[in-house]
Amino acid sequence: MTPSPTWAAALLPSAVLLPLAWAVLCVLVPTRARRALGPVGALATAAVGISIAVAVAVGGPVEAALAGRLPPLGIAVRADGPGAVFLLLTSIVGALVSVFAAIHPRSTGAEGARDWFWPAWLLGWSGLAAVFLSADLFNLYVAIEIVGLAAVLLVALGGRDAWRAAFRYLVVTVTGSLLFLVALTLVYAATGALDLRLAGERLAAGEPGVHVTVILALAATGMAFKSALFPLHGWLPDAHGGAPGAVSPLLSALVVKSSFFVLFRVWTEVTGPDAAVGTALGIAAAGSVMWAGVAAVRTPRFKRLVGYSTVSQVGYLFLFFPLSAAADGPGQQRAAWIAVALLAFAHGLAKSSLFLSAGLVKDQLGTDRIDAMTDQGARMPLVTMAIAVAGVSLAGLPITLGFAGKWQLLLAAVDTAEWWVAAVAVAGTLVAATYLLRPVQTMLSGESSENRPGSTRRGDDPDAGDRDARGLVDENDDEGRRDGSSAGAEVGRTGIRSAPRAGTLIPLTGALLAALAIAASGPLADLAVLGLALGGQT
Amino acid sequence: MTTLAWFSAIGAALFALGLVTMLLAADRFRRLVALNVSAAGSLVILLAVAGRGETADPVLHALALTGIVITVAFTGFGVVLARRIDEAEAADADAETTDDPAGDTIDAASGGPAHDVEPTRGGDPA
Amino acid sequence: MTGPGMIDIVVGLAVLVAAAVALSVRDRLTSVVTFILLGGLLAVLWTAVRAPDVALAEAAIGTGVTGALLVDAVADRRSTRASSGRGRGRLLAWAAAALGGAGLVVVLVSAVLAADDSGGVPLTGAVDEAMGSAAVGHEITAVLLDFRAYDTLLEVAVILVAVVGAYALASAIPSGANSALSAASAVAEAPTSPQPPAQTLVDFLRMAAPVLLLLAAWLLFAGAYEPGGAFQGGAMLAGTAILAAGAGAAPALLDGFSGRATVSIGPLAFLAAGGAGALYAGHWLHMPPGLEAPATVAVEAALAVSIGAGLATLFLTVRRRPRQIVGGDRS
Repeated sequence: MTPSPTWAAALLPSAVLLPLAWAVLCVLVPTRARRALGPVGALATAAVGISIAVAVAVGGPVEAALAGRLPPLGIAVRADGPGAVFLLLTSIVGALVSVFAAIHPRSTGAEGARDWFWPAWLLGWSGLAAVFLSADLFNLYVAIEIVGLAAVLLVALGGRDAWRAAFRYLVVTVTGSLLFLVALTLVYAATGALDLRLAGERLAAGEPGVHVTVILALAATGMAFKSALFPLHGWLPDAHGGAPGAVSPLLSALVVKSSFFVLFRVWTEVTGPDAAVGTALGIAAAGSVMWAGVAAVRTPRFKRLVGYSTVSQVGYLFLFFPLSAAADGPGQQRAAWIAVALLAFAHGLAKSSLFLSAGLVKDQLGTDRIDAMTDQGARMPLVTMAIAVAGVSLAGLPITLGFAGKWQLLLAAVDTAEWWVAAVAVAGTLVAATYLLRPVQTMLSGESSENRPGSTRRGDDPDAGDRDARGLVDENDDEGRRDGSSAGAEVGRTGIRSAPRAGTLIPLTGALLAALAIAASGPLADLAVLGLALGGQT
Repeated sequence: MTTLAWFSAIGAALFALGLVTMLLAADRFRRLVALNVSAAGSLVILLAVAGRGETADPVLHALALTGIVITVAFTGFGVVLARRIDEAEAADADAETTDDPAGDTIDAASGGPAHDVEPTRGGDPA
Repeated sequence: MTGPGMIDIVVGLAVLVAAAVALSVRDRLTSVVTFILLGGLLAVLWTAVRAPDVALAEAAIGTGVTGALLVDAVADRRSTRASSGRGRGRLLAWAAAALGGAGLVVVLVSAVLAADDSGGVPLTGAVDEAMGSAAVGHEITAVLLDFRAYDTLLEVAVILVAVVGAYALASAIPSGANSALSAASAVAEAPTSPQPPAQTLVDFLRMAAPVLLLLAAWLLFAGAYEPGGAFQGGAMLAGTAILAAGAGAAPALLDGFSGRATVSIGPLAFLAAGGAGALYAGHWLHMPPGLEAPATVAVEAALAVSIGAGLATLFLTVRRRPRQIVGGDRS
């Protein structure tokens, strides 16, 4: 018996198929047409994504059967609460970045390579949608492979300097995928099903054995590689920092979330929570938050700082797993998930805004060294404001959506008596405030913080940090100032380097959304737990 | 030992061998070969599981076919990328060895970012 | 269950040895050639586990195309020596990794056996039941193009991503290049190889090309009832194109707009058929009712062409004709 489609169910596959078809179209047409066609496709895809999210919020989870086949033989496509939240995030961030890329084509890659941005990004978008809507293990595998390869390609658009980082990213992403492939083989061996729900039911009903833990451990390790969870995070700052200006936001806001989402699906629907894996992930997550936070404080370059910030924020997401393992009922599970979903949403918006701003700053000043940003705030008021607002939301300070997420996290931690999670969250917030507000301070004040001996950088080893920074400042100071001033002079003379005015509005929009969406945190939370399946062995 | 156990062991060994080499080796092409070895290992495990019953499982065979094509797509792009990196490094080496003052100016002008990118430490993920 | 036979043991060990050799020799070319040998042994292994479709695909794609890609990339006198990692600290890392790898093997094998004992029933029965309503007679093709068609579409998208990547890398103009440097790099990527291709190769191509193309078509259409199908046929097409390129006669079909069109035809056909299915049958990726068999065959043919063109384009972009590939595109 095949289910009859309503309009939402009919629309569901087009979230994946529309960007795919549009990407093929973009490949066929000449370059000039791509620059017009691409953004149209992006906005259409965003509209589809938002509609689906609204449909789910209003009417409950939506399912569609492709080729008229149902599991266990066919592949189910399902939009439930968690999938809808992430699809919504993808649509909003995707739309913002696409508009930015359309207005500011130089941000889409090195000369020549940037002709291929739109097909690459649309293919990646279709992969992301496929991940968030999939209810089948092998389908998830193919979808994350699309996302992974598209992401590597997008990084490589950054030109020669990005190629090495792109290759390293390729190796890392394939490692993650292969680990996941072995995990799903084990699931099939034990259950004869690839559908998430069916596999979960059969796994819970079957004989207990070491295979369940191994499945989860393999999937967790694989996704930890792909999401840059400590200590497997080394590839991210180079890749996200070296990618073109319009690509870095997509990578940090969306791609690293997709692999987290896959693990979330396996954890909640297939294997169920596991204490050992949860603890291991918790330790890694705490390491991410703190280690990357400290590294972010110490790095002298803005884009790398934002990259380290992503590693740190991914740590918060992975705190879901120890909380879920310690939860003693569906209520606490839901609370943990709401916290993480809100954090992910806020982070996606704020991080994309931050990366777009970083790109604009680099264009304007010719370099992304933080001390070259001294006193530039007056020349780029909108961008500075965007960085400030995004920073506040990212750090989780009131009253932003990021704060709402942090608050929920603390509540969940207290509820399940996982005090160390609360400690990590608080410490992480302090460190984040430090490294996120430093660039703003630099831009607004007349001196860069490195030049002041009693500098306000807390939470790190002051001597080594200052010595390093001063060494770098001494070596490259002249070069940095020369670059900055010559670029500034160039702007004054010919205006070639400055981004279009409209482009500077977009990061600000994203940042404001990241903050003001706290008003939507209630509905978002409700959406996040709609249809949340907590099957598997508990 | 059953056939399943034997082939799983072979597959697991290939998988682990490829994985370790892919992450630690310094040469990019070696890492691409390792990628294929590791993928082959995972497919050996997959097909060993498929061969359990009296008739082979067609679903797993279809998955294996898909896996092979995906691996070649990644390898193909990886080879093009690695080749471009090698060519770029060779061109850099040539520019340095020729005592061309123009070459120095170029290096300084294209300056900062290229020098600050960490050299790949053979893919050590940490 | 019976224990492994003599062949299983021998092939298994041979595969392991070949892999170990391929990953440890210093010379890149030897490593790649051993890898090709490994591919052949793997094809034998696949037949030993009763997977003839996979054996065909492995021989054509895994060994043929991948091998050609790698050989073409490393068979260059300047780059044959593998760059080595740095000294002592690495030894510790490798030792730790070896230990970890051994542990991984133990864990994986025990997990597989535990999973097997857990009593999962494979989907073979469900497939047999559903074959009545499938458009083709071969189970694997039915799984790929009917039951799990969505996966196949996404997997074709992966190929498209790789091809777009190759195009993008070919189009990238090196930054900071002045006229001297770009002239140098243009010479380095000169489309013509230093020596003209061997005459035997050209003659072989003249004789073999029609046969190979026929074989590709046969593999494609046989997939409806026997081992074969779009992947194997497509790989055969790619192989023919690669052979032609080696003989100095790379098909011009793959250049410029026609190249992009050929690569796109597969996903386009699939989406068109699937879209028509959505309109007439109410489900996306369902073939139009009444036309299922011809539509499936047509889509399969288009997929084979796309896969062949895509893999061949990847090969051609490695060293040979990057400018021509994207040529007619930039104004």
